Formats: sequence, structure tokens, C-alpha cells
Amino acid sequence: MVCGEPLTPAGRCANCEAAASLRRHKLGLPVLVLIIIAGFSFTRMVVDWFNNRQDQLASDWYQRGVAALSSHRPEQAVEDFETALVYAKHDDDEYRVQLAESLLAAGRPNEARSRLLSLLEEHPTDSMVNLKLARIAASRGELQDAIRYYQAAIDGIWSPGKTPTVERLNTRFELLDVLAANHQNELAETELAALLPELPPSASAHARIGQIYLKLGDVHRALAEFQHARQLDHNFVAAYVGAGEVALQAGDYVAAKHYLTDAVRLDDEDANSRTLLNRAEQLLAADPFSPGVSAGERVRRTLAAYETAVKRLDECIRSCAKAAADSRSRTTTPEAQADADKLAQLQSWAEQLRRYATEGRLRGRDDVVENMMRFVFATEDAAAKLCGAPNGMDELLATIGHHRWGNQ
Amino acid sequence: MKSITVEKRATSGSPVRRKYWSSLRRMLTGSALLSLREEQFFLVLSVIIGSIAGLVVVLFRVAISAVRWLLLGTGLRPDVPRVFIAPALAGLLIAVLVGKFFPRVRGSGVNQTKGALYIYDGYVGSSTTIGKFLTGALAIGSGQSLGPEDPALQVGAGIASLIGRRLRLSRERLRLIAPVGAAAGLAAAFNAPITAVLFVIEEVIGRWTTGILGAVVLSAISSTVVERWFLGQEPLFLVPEYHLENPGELLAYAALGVLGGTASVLFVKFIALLRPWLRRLPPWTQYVQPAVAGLLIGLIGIRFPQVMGAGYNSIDQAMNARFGWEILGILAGLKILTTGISFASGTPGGLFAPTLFIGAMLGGAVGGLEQSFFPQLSIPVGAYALIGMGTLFAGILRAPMTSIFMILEVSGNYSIILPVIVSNTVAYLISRTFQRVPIFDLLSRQDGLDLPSLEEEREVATLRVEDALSPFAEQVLDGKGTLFHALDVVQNAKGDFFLVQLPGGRWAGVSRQTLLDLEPDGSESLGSRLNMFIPALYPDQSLETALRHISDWPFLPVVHRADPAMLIGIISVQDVINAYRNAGVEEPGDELPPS
Repeated sequence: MVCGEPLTPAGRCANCEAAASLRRHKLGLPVLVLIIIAGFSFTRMVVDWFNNRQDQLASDWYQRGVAALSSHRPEQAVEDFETALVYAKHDDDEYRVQLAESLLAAGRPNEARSRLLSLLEEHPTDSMVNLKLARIAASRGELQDAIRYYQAAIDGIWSPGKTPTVERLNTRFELLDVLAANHQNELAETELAALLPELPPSASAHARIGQIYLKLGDVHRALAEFQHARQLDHNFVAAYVGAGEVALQAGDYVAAKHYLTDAVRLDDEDANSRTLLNRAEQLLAADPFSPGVSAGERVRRTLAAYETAVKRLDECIRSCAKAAADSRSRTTTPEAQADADKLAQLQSWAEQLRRYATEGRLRGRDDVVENMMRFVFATEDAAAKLCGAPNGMDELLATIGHHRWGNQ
Repeated sequence: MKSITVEKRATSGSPVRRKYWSSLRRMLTGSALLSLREEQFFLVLSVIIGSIAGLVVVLFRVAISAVRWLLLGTGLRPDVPRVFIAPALAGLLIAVLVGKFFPRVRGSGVNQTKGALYIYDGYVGSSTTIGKFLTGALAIGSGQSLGPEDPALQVGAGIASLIGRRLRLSRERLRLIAPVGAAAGLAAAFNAPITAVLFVIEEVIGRWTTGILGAVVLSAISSTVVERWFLGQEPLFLVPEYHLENPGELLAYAALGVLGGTASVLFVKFIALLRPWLRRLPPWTQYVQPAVAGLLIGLIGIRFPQVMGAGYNSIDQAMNARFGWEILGILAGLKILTTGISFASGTPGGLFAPTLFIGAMLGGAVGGLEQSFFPQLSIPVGAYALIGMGTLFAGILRAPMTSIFMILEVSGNYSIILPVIVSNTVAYLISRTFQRVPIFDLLSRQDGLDLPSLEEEREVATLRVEDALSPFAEQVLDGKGTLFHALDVVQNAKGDFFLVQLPGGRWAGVSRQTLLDLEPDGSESLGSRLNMFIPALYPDQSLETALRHISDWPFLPVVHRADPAMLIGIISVQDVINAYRNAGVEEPGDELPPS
């Protein structure tokens, strides 16, 4: 009866034994705490190594992905970025954006979109993610989504490495390009109205606006913007090129040549301005109605155009006849009949003009020159529709006709 | 000097402050620790076990990654020679380690932990713990199609068992401590403490008792905290956003449940057939089976490396619509094949991750198919993959509650609960219908262990007092009446024991002989002469409760809950026995050993 409690069969106090056992257990706790401290230290060491290794692997695979993407191996880049993402613990947003970029380049826009959408869930105000989603939507023809994402990108937050004002401006321009390409002129006008007050006084910004007006078909405002750009920077090549393009589109080949000559003078390595200049010169050389062209020269150019058109007409008639002969269908469709009639009319028109097709008979007959050139345009127009797109001289004549008579 | 000043201030301050300083002193000197009661001590120990298990599981996960980098390289698509050679060579080494040094590490680890609880008094050998760590890391890291969760569960149980033995805990405590460690191991491996707690309660312990629940929860939480502290807060999967837009979508999830249930049955039957067949082969083949399994998996891995290892990255990719439905379907089928081969070959590793993999792929495939044929449903493929994981979990591991809460915990999205319940329930029912024995019970029976089937136990109908009570044939004696009146009644009665109704709805019991021995007194009531109150039972109480109360009484009164004075019937020990006999079931916990 040591503790006033019943004894165990061994003659010990049951409660005292339990208490002693519990005390012994508790004395083991400090040892366990020491084990935990040692375990934490060891695990910290191992995990530090592990994390460093993972960071290194993430970086290595990311670099491989960047290299693959820049060397146009998007599938390889996708795999590399996916591997990098397995190891990335920090700042993996950039990796994910790059992965989406690679997926896009690899022609897998759905996966890219899925990746970007999951990023967007985490960062709904991230401008870069919104911008990429906008581009995907635009490429898929989902205009409303594209506009929504572009707007979110404009209103969102840009990553620290970017200059928000510049990025916003570029995004607005991109949105305007998309609107113009989709013939959303009203929306584009609204966007332009919002953009113009914020437009910096730089030649490049005005030249960009000029390009957008050009795409919208507003050649006058386009020209005004390019001229404004030229005033801001006399050496800004894009302004001259843009003005040249406007002039070409308006059918003013002389002005176009003027602007484009200046552009080439400023930068003779600019392939675009050189190409446009060549075209302006060719159009000028082919157009019988160019200002300053002598009567004799006009006649010669008209005759050359007539011969070109007749040749194109003959080729077109032959190819249509061959196509009809090759066709298994013995019945003629109304459309085919209408085409044949049209070509026959043109052939008849050519025959009527044939007797004037000499320099002597054409000289002094401006009405016949006009008629002959109408025939040329009508022939090139019909041949383009029935026998494929023109090229070379045919294409130049079609363009000249288009500028002079529009869709008559 | 400074400390003296502080102490002076403290002791001379208010009573609250004095109490605070006193507590602090006790903490610092360890006397607070010594004053803990046993239950409190057990809870503190659970936190310590959880912390240590968390540390070991962190190291286990690092080891798996390190082995993978070493053997298969760091890319998602390993080089062909490595894929071909590494799993086979590692399989050979694993076979030697298992055969020569760690024979008890075969399989997942869940049954071994259950065995520790029910057979070995909580004993999990240290060599088994070490062996499971080494061979598990080697197997999973080398690409065997197995997961780390079940081994982590066994390692956690092993750590807990070791600590319990070192502290010389009582047999009862030692038996309970293994599941505490198991929950810690699983929670850290899966980064999901609720899932771990539920799984251990549902599949290992099998009952909710307050004594163990607190310890299991604390260990699971502490191990998860440790794991997250070291490996970060990132969830295991990047789960896509999902909302149930249209109740009609539930039909799609029911379809997923049907497919998931069918796949579960196929998977379990495949293992059920292949495992005993491989075991019947000559003993020397045990040394090459993991190697052959590795070789086969390597061959498949050349084209489909996603099926190698635990496959968490692929699950993540499936949830983000990275694969087409055809590929997802192929991956699900191949994972069933490769996991069956790996597991049946005796390679140590778990079934958790493969189950989730198969579920995610199958779910994704169903989602992709439905998007192709029913675009109006507009359910993201990721949602199907997520719900597919729970579906297969319910179908293969047959832990329905865990499967639902696991998806909630992993997704952090409550709105997914309806689809999860629908799909999981369908899969669970199909699996139960066509595969009556759950996989862990099947494996334990193949191993010759007769562990209690927790699913069967859950389904044992509880017999209640109302199932056993019989009518009381004798007249109830009135406690307010006189002894003479009572003797009159007893004289004409057949029985030897009588119920006496006392005021206030109380009851007493008295034998014929006791009544006859009482001295007659005309003034006192019968009730006042008796001091033998008898407990009354209610019809809805279990027979187990009835047995606890019957003790030495021939029978007990069964009364109405709303009116304790109203006698419904009586119940005796024989009534209880008859009720069990008629019901044809054994009382839970009293299973007879196989004859």
C-alpha cells in the first residue's frame, strides 16, 4: 500500500507505475525535439540543394526553349518550356507566356489560348496576357473577343520591363489594324478619336495613323497624317513611303514617284520604297493619260495597251473554250454562257477598234483613245475574273483603268 | 542584473502577471511538460510524429526526383536508351533489395499499416521503414508506374511505431500510434491533410473515435505544414476554374461515372489475376519480375513517357487540355496496364497516384469526346479530368467520402461538389457490383492476412433494442401500492422476476423471493421498500448498449423515450443472442477466424 491504491499482481502500485511510465515517456520528448531540430537542419540543407538544382534546371530548359523558338523550332520550344515549367518555382509567368508563344508558333492556338486563359485567371489585369489572347482571338476571327482583350490590355498593367505609355500606344495601333482589316470603320473611328488626343508629337506615330487611314480607305486623312509626319521629321522615310502609297492608291503616280524618290534617296536600302517606286514608274510609263505626255506618246501607249489587252482576251477565250471542252458536262450552265457572251462582246469590241489600231488613225482622235482604253480596262477586268489574276503589263493596265474609271 | 530586475517586477506585479511568469518558468524548466496528462501527452506526441514524418516525406520526394534525374535525365521525354535500360536495371536492384534485405516492403503499404494496427500491436519494423523509403524512391524515380503516397503512409506509420516503441508506450497507445504516423505520411506526400485524415479513418482505422481523431488530425496538419514549409505552398495540381452552369451537365458526369466504374473494375480485376499468377511462378523469378516490369514499362515509355513514374505532370497537363481525347484514352489504358504490371511484380510503390492518373486521363478523354459531339455542353476538359480523379479513387480504392473531399481539397472549389458526388457514386456502385471485394481487402487476402474489411464493416446493419425486445407477460407492480397488493399479484404470476413502476418514470426490479422475504407493512408503499433501481432502455438503442446495461438482471424494461413510464417490452441476454442469430450477422469486431 505505497500509494493508497490497489497493487498489481507483482505487488506494485498500479497508478504509481502508470505515472512513472508517463514520466518516462515525457522525458523522451526533449530527445525527440532535438531530433526534429537536427532533422530540420538536415532537410533544409537537402532541400536547398534540391531547390537550387530545380532553379538551375528551369533556367537551362528555358534558355533551350528560347533558342529553339528563335531558330524556328516551335515544337521543340514547347517541350523545352514545358520542362522548364516543371522545375520553375518562381516567376514562372514569363515561362508560361513563352510557352503560349511557342504553342502559337507551332500552330496550336487552342492550347496556347488555354494556357493564357489559366494565366489570365491568376492575373486578370496583366496586359501582356490580354494582348496575346487578343491576337489569338483576332487570328481566329473572333472580333468581339479580340476587341475585349485589346481593351483589357490597354487598360491593364504592363510588366516592369515595359514602358506602359509606349505599350498602350502600340496596342491601340494593333487594335486599329485589326478593326481596319475587319472593315469595322465606325469602331476604328471611335478608337482613333480616343487615340488622337493622346498621340505623341512624333513622326512615327503620325505615320502609323496615316497607315491606318490608308487601310480604312480614307486617303485624304492618310495623306494629311503622312505630311504631318514629314513636317515633324524631314528624314523620316516611312512618312515618304506612306505618302507615296497614298498617292499610288489615289492614282496620282507623279506624286507617288516624287515621294518615293525622296524615300529612296533617304534610305536606298529600303526594299519596300524601292519596290513602290518601281511600280510608280511603271504605271507612269504605261498610263496614256499621265500629265505631260505628248499626243504621240499617248497614242503609242494606247496602241501598246490595246495589243496587250487583245492578246489577253485571246488567251482567255482559248482557255475558257478548253475548259468547256474538258468539262464532262455536256450542258452549258447559264453562268458559263454569260461568260462566253461577255468574252464574245469584248472580241466584237476589239474588232470594231481594230481599224483604228494604227498611229496614224488614232492621232487626234481623243474619243477613240478614250474608247480604246475603256476596252483595255474592260478586257483586263473580265479576264481577271474569268481567267485568273493578271500580272506584268496586264496588271498595270488593270490598275490604271481602275484608278481612272473605278468599277464602271 | 537585468533578469533579476525582470523577475522582481514580475513577482511583485498583479496576480495575472505572476501567473504568467510562473507558467513561463515552468515551460522553460520543462516542468509544464511533465505535468501533461496522458491524453495531452499523446496529442503533443502526435505533433512531433507529424513533424518528423513530414521531414522524412520531404526527403522521400527529393529522393524520388534525384533518382529520376540520375536515371532518366531531367527532360519530360527521356532519351531512348535511358528509358529502355533504367527501369529494368533499377527493377533488378529493387528485387535484390526486397528479396535479401527488406522482404516486407512489397506492395503499397496501406495493408501493412492496417496489419500493424490489427495484428502486430502497432509494430512496423525499422528495416521496413528504411527499406520502403529506399526501394520506393528507386522504383518511382526509375519510372515504375507507381505513386509515392502509400509508401509515405507506411513510412509515416513506421516512424510513429519506432517512436512509440522507444518511449515504451502502452500496447493500446502503440497500436493507435501507427495510423497517426500513417496520416502524417500521407498528408505530407499528398499535400492534402483532410484527404489524409479521412483516408486513414475510412480505410485504416475504420471508426471515428475522439481518442484517435485529434491525434490523427494534429499529425496530418503538422506534417503538411512541414512539407509546405520546405517544398512551397503550390498545390499538387493547377486546377482550372469551373462552375456548374447547367444541371444537365450532371448527365455527362454520370456517364463519366459509368466509364470510371468500369475502368476501376478492369484495373482491380487485372491486378487480382496477374498478382497471384506471378506469385505462382518459381521463386527465382521474384528476382527478375520487377526488372521485367521495368523493361515493359520502358518499352511503352519510349512512345508514351507520361505513364512512367507517378505522372503528376501529365495529370496537370491533362487538366489544362494539353492532350487530345484519343491520347488521353490511350494513356488511361496504358496506365492501367503498366501499374498492374509494376504492382503485381512486387515492386514497392503506391496506387494513389496511378489511380489519379487513370482518372484524370479518362475524365479528360470523356471531356474531349463530349466537346466534340456535344459542343453545347461547354464543360472544360480540365473539369472532367479533375472529377475523373475522384471517380477512379472512389471506384478503385473504394473510399467514397475521401474521394469527394479529396477533390474539394485539391480544387479548392466548392461548386464542383455536385458533379463529384454524382460521378463518384455511380463509379462506386458499379465497382461494388462487379468487384465485390475492395482492392486492399483483396490484396490482404492474397497475402494470407485476414484484416478486417472496413467496407464490409460499414455495411453491417446495427441491430437495435427494438429488433430484440419481447413483450412482458407479467403484470407490472405498482410502486405506489402496498406490499400486500404486490404479493397478491405475485401469487398468481408464473415468473420469478417482476418490474416495479416507480414515480417519475423510474423502474425497479424485484424477485419473487425478495418480495416474500420482505416484512409486511400496511402503511409503506412498495416503492419505498425497494432500493433496487433497474436501468431502462429505449427501442432505438443498439444491442451493444443493451448488453452493457443488462449485467446481472434477468431482463431490462424497454420504455418510450417521450414517456419513460410507458413500458414497450423487455429485453434479456437471450433476446439479444436470438436477435443476432436471426439476423445472421456477427457483431462488429467479433469476427471469427477462418476455419
